[in-house]
Amino acid sequence: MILRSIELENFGLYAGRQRLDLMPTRDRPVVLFGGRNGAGKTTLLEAVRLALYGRRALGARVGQSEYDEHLRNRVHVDANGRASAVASVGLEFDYAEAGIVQHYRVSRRWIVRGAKVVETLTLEKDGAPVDAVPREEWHGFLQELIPPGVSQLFFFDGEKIAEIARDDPDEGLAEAVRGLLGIELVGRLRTDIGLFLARRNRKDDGGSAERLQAVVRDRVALQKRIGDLAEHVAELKTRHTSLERAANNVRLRFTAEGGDAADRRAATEAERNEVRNQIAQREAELRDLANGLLPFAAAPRLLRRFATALSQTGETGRREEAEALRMRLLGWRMAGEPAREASWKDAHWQDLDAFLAAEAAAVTGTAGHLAGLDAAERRRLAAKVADARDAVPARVSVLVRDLDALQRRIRPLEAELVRAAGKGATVVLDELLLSEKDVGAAEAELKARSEELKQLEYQKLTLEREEKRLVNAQNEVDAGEQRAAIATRVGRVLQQYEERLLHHKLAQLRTEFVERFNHLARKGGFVADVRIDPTTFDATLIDRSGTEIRKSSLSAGEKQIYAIAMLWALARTSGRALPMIIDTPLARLDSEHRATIVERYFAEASHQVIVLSTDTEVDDELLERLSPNVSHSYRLDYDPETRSTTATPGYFGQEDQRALQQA
Amino acid sequence: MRYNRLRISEDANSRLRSIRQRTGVTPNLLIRVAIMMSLEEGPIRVPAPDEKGPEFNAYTLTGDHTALIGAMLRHVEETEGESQPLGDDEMVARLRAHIHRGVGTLSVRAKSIVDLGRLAVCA
Repeated sequence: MILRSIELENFGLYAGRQRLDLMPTRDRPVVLFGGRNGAGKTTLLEAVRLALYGRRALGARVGQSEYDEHLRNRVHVDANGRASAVASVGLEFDYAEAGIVQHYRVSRRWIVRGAKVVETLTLEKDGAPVDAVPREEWHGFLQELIPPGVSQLFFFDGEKIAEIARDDPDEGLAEAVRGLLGIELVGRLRTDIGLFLARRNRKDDGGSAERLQAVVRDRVALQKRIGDLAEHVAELKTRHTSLERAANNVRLRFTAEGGDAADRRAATEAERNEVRNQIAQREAELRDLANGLLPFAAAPRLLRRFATALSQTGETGRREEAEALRMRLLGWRMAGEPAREASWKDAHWQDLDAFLAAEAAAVTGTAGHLAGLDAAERRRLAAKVADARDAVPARVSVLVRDLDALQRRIRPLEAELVRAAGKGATVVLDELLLSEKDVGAAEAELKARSEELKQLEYQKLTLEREEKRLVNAQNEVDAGEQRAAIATRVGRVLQQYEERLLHHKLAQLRTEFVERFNHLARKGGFVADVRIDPTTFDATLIDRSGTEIRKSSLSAGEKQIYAIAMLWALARTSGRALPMIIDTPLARLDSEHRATIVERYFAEASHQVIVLSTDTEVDDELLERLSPNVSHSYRLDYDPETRSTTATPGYFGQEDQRALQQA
Repeated sequence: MRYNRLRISEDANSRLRSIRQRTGVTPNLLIRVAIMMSLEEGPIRVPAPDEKGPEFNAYTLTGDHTALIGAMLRHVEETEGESQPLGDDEMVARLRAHIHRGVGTLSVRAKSIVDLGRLAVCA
């Protein structure tokens, strides 16, 4: 990884927008920043960390409100005490992934609105927003690129060094080493496996095993019973089939022997049906007649009387005519006009008068209610009556005679049919009945046994299901045990791996450290070995004679050398090619050590070394020693009037140098 | 005689049902036969016991023959009986009585459709 540039906007002491080039030129890895105390050197280091880690830059457990507060405080405040509304830090860097160098640009910009701070993260890869990773994951993505724990070893300030050099076991270092060496991950894995093992339920399953045994025993017994029964059922089936076949034969014989009667029967049936048809026809006619005048025919005497009455009533005119005739006769007798030809005696007159009077009177008696009918109605009724008396009985009598004859014909036919039906029901019938009875019995038996078989099979199915369930449960237990065994083995392996990894890394670290320390220390070969406690990571120096060098016996400068060597060794052991940012590392060193650090550490620590220094640390003399490795430099100048820092290319005293060169 | 509807007796109804089964002739036609048979016996003095049977309307019951039946009823009841004019209500009551009596007779004599024919021939 290589840092290309850093961009600051209203961040801390930096007013406005400033972009600083960090890209070293070829073979000159050092980028030098010069600045007096309070000029903003540490702010630069902070900006790098902030751009990469955001909230995480402040520590592992920092709340959002705390972070917001921090951001608000890091906004530049101008000479008039006004805070800017917008601030940002940005970083451009190249990062190699799978052998391909990618150009990244990360920028954090935050807007302060009263108590609220709104932060926007921009992450670009080769000029386009990163889209392979969702926006919410960008923080994580950046932390994957350069883990914060690792960055502590590369981006550090003098304070850090002082801490490492302390005599007592160092918590922070231990953590850094663990994280750095990848041991932490293995440890977490081991814990997870332990949890898995602890969580595993170790229930005693003796009961279920017993139950399984019983189920299997029952099932086997049932299986045997089912086999026997199935055989029995099969036998019954065969018997049933043969009985049925026999019964069928008997039935066929029965039909064959009754065949003659059957033939005759058909003819008889046909004849009977014909007669029945004729009967039906005549009966239908009778019914028709019943709808007509037949009912009246059922009262023949009344019809006769009624007809008489009707006919008498029909002569109503006669009575009037007779009376009128009598009146005219009487009138003629009185008047004698027209003249009488014969001589009429009183007796003649009286006879004639009596006849006419009787004639008129005779009709009066029978007139009754029928007199109310008009002549047409009377004629209609009379016609009906006549029909009812003559035509209807005539037709009915024909029908009745026919029907009687037909009934006489049909009776023997039906008798014959009954006889035909009875024929053949002789010995064969008995046989048929017997065989059918056998078939029925066999069928009943078969049905009962089949039912029993079905029940047994159902029982078996139930048992099988339970067996399966129990076996599954047991398998589950087995599988669980297997998994537990594997987990235990994995745990053991992981433990071994962790130990060996630690051992390996520590050995590497030891070698690196001794080499680095002796490389830097004025007393060459002062330290022969270092012992690092694998649990506390407490380092103990050992001299040539094999005696322990107590850290407290080291001078302050030696301690610093020790710390730098340790950091350097750790960085190298981590195997990551990251830039170094070193903030004020030379404070406590004597001139000789400073020269070594400048020449051997700054120049070799990494492919990119950003050194933040005061003018007293890297002074003119050291600058001269360092300059072959310096790519370019900046000077940070704080202007008390504007209360802001500006970075300008160059270093302390370079004007002089330039002047010197010019001269 | 004028009437629209007429209820026959319960007894007549049950007898009619059985005759109908034996002869296949509908009750209204059977009733006509029954009326004639009763009229043949002469005037009636005993009214029908009840009117709990089904109701027939005039057309179904006597149809085209209403006038003839009415005339014959009047003839039997007035001319051959009391010889005094009867009101419509009384006429209908008498008719109901005749139906009741006639159905009784019919149920004894008509075992089949042929018997119905015989009634018309041999009487």
